[in-house]
Amino acid sequence: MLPHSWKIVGRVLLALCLLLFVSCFRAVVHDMFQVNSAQRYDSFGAGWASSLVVIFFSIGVVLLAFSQEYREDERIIHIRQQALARTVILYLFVLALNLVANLVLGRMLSMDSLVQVMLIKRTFLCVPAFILYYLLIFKLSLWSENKKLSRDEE
Amino acid sequence: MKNNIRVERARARMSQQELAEKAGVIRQTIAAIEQGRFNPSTVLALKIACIFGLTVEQIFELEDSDWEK
Repeated sequence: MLPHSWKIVGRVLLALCLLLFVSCFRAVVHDMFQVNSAQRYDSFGAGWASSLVVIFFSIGVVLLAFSQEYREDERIIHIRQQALARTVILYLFVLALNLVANLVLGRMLSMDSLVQVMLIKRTFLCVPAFILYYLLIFKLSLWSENKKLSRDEE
Repeated sequence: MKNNIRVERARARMSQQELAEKAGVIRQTIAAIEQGRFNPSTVLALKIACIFGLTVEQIFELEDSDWEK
């Protein structure tokens, strides 16, 4: 795990990602869902914007997810492990759903398209999204546990 | 697993925060252990017992449901 200070770098990167996404919204969204690079939005800087959004997002969530909390002990580590297990199950479920949806729609699933689905092109299935799921589940679990503790203490 | 950390803390006039700092964990972890929401590691259980000057068996006790897992 990275030291807590790396969370600041992660937050800065995500803020930059959001800024770029908002300023080049149409171009970035169009680019992200194009499988064929020739169909990318043909506008000055739009290709770079979408690439930077993905890069900043990917690095930002990794830094946020794998930096230590301000105070981390064995209970936090236990919650992290549970969150990771839940994320893997959720991710496999979403992947299976996507595969079934593709088969139902009649598309033949090749290994190339499967790799594309896994990596970047389908934003909700890509590896950074997996890490974002983990981060959300971890934070939610931590908040929920602390809320239950406060309630029971009262 | 049940425990009597709260009783021993009261006996030692120690707050959860003080116990947490001595054991090297955060306050919420001690609260979670007291409420039975979290089972400590062997090291943490030994530390807590050592802080109170007792043995682990005097602080923690297995329940019937622990044998069923």
